[in-house]
Amino acid sequence: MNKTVNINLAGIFFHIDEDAYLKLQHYLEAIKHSFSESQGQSEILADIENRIAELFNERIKNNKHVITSTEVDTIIAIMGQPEDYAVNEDIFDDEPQPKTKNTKSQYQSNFSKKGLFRDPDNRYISGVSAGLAQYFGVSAIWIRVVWILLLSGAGTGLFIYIALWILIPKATSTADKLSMSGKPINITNIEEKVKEGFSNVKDSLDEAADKVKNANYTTIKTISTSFFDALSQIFMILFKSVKKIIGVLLVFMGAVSIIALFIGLFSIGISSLFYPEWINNSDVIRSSINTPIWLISLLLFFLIVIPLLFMLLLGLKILKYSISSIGRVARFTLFGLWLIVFSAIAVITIKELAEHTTKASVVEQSAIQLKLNKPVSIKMLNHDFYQDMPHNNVQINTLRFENDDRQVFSTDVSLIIETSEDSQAHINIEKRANGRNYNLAKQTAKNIEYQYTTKNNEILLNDYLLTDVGDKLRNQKVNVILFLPKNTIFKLDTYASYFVNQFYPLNRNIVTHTNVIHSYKVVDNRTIKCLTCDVKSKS
Amino acid sequence: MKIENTKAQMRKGVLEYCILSVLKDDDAYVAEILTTLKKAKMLVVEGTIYPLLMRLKNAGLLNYRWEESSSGPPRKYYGLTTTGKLFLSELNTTWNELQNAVNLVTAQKPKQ
Repeated sequence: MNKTVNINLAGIFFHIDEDAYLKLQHYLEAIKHSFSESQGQSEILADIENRIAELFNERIKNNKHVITSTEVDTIIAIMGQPEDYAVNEDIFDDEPQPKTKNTKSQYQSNFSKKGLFRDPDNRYISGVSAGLAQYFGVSAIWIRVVWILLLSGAGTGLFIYIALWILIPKATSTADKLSMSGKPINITNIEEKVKEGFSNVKDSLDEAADKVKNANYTTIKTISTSFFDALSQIFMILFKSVKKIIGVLLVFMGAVSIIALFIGLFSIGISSLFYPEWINNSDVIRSSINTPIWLISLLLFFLIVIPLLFMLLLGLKILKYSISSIGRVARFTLFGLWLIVFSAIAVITIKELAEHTTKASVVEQSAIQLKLNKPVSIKMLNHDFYQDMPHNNVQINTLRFENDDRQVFSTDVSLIIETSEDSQAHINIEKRANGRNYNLAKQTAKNIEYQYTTKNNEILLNDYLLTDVGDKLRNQKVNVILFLPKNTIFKLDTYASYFVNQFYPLNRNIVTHTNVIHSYKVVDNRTIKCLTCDVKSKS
Repeated sequence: MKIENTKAQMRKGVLEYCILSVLKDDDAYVAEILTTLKKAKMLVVEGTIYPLLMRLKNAGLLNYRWEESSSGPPRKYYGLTTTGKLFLSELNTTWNELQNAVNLVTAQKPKQ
């Protein structure tokens, strides 16, 4: 004996056995899940129901005929398993379609891979934890414990949770749910899952009966679920408006910066015509590097403009302008170009840095004739070109023009007073420079021009060094080391005091950057004493 | 690579062409299309046809009208649209070319 059910299939009335009915229902449910809505799910399903009704109709002998399970089996054999319905999109799609249409076939190709979804069936808040638990194959309780721990850790967990809530899709279809638990999507599993759904309904009915008993668990769960549902809706509205604002901002910033960059790129050349300082500055850059400036500016332009372009596109996308889609090829080309530009800049940087890796120095030693019984005066001389400028304003590395012959001009000169071993005064000019290798560095150091003169017990030192433009800026530097015999008294000119290297232990008593001319005495090879400093100014 | 998959793909590839061909002269409802295709062994199970019909309809190659049936539910009668007819004649040419090509290739004696 069987219970029968009355059904309306495509507008026709049928008697059907209960087990046959369940079978048919599972079958139709499974087919439904083989299609996405964009493929015309409901219309296809209506057509199929229509056809099944037709097939039933052919088999019905009289009004009292009841459709049995065997007849449903025959119909299913004629119609085919749900897999047979699936259109292989790869064959039929004229052009690869983005997103919506392919979701299903994507699942098929990723068959046995586990998908990360939010599990709405086992959720407390949004199903993130339950989904993660399914994904990692652990009990959801552990994931929730981790959340609570993270939450107490300065609330970082909250942000991560919300981010995941937005990013992880909810498992809505049976296929999603199967993918979530890592089961292959086929008819047996779909049916199983659908059955599970039915028994869940049954369970919840049973549960409702003895709800009173389990009140605690269920109510907490329901309250939490509905509260967070409402919260999520409010949040989505907020999120949408925030998204709009972010979109507008992105578009605005992207567009403005791109325009500014373009103007910048083309106006560097023009502005250098009107503002000669530009030439100076760019000459400094040009003389310090080997790479042509136009190449660097072009590379930098691309390095900055491509991310800005993506920012602009992202903004447009957020604002849902379909024109903003520039196509995958264009996107990958731009990204590839950016990578190339980035690596080019990296290579150039490394190359330029390599120019400075090795240090070398050349020392020119000579004796100087001084009347050591009288005080010796040490003075620094300005270059004519910078005569009017106060010392602090003179740039360390700049260029000067002389008879159309450009030279690197640098005030990187320091002065060190030492104790002479004998009763003679000596001067050592130590020229230093950097280079790619020792020989180059040494050659560059050798090429440094530095001059000094002595007359009337005065040592006149240049405050600058000169070198050829061809040598480029390679951290050229001159150390003037003055060896004075014991008991020599010397006067340090105010300007010269700016150049004294106080880091040198013997020179730590010398007052630098002063407006007073001080006298010093070389006491022995460990001390230089200031004769005119009072205790106050010394501190 | 499964032989079954390859067979199914081959069959599916020409199925659209066959459906359009069945409708070349007269409109037909699904059961009629199915009978023709099944007789020719083009179809194993009926389910395959529904998504295809939907695709063709959505592409504007087919349209349909409802007709009452004396027995059973109302029937959807499918017919070719003007685009569908053009599409079919294109496919005809392609099919003939393809057939010739395949014949030529498969008839070639294997080289020693």
